[in-house]
Amino acid sequence: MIFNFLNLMFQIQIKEGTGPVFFVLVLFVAALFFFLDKARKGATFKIRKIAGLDAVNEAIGRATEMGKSILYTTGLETASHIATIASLTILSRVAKRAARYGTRLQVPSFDPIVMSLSQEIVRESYLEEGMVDSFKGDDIFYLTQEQFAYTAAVEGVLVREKPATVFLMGYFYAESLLLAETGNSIGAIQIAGTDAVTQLPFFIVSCDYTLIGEELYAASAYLSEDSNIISSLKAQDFGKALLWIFLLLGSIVTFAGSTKFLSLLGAST
Amino acid sequence: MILNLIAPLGTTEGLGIWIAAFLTLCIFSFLYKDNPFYKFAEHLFVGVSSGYYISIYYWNTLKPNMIDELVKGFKALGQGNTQKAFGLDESGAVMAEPHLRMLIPLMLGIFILLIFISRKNAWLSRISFAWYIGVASGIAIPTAMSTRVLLQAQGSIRDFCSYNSDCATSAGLDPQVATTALWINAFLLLIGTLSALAYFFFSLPSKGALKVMNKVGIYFLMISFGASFGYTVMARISLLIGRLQFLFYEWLGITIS
Repeated sequence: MIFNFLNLMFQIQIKEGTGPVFFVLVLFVAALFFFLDKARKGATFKIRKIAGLDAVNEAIGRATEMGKSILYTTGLETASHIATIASLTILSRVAKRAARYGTRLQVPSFDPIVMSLSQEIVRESYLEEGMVDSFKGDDIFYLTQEQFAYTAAVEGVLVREKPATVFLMGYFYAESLLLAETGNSIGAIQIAGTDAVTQLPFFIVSCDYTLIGEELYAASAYLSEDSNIISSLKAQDFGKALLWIFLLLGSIVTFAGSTKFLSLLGAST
Repeated sequence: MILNLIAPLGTTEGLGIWIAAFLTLCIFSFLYKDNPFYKFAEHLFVGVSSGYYISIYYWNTLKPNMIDELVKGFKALGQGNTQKAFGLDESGAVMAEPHLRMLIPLMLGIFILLIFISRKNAWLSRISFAWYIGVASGIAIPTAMSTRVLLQAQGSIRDFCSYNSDCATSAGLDPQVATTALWINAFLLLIGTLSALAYFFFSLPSKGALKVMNKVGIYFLMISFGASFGYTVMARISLLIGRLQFLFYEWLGITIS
């Protein structure tokens, strides 16, 4: 019966390409509401340590102690990219800390919309910390949408301003190593995070901490330390656990010679 | 090795080669340290590219999608054709050309500009941002779910069919290619996928079996990162070779015979 129900849901995908996605999203949203409800009723969720995120406060503190600035880049994608959205939520947390400690925060932007969003987010963070007078809109600035011109300009900022802390969070392309190496050469503590699989190795070798894929998405909830927000992380884990079970069962069933799971995913059978 | 004449400055092409070579060397000078030549090339690059993109956005986006549509819409309005002005045909159905419906995105765009014009009314920009992020997430999340989760899961499972020729045929695998080696590969892929996925369980403590799996997952991730690193470095070296070829062949005129 369960197979028939799943098959019915997944059949829609074969015809219209949306069935499985819709089904998975419904499950995920249901899990999200379930865990959110639990959090509101007072449940607390524990999260394992993520070294890169634990280092965020330490990195901001280092810049404060050294009297130097923090440089934060949201990557080379537009605001419609998931990694950019995740990066903007982390920017909010970083800006709050920077405002609290009175540390200068510079955000060179690749995309004009992302720049406007960053400005609003940072301003809001300063406002929440009661430091809106210290907010400098000019520190969140647009450079260009040409990949290597942007890279050259950020490298220029790095070597001239010599920030103590560099955050490279978002989606990156071939410029990842250039940025991270320059940050490394000026002795900055660097925390990178991206879901660009091809760029992760470069960040791993040249940055102090690297958030790998999902860790970037989890960062906002992790840094918030708020049960309501952490409940979203619990829902994500629920989704991953389902996928884990699905993959294991699917492999066993397929190995036994059945194509049922492949059919569910819309493979040619 | 033959050293020909350096690209002649007198011709347009020669002048272009000289400028490109000079700017290439300016950028390369950053390898030594920050210097006025690098600064010059950097600022020129940023300025030229910004100007280029403004021009591209104006001619490819703003003018055809906004200005031309509004002009057509106001013309239709002037002729008393209200329906056409708002991009509706005679039956009231929505036409592909939006005409004055473009006033809505124009308004959302002006809301964003209010951040720089009027701090008092800057809150209106949040409507635009909320719209943009909402629409963008609505498009991005299902796409990511489909391409990064479901299709990947399908790819991980499919090769297990290679163990069984009937299953392999019905799963669309070439029976000639569907060998035991493919099945072993599928098995390794499964172990790697499950252990790497387990590494990203944040709400479970890394203890017992999960700890072992996390460790295996990290090994798989690092092996894949290592392979990706080597592959990409090779690609980057080919970019450097391309630039050096330009300097030696096109600018200096050195050819190897």
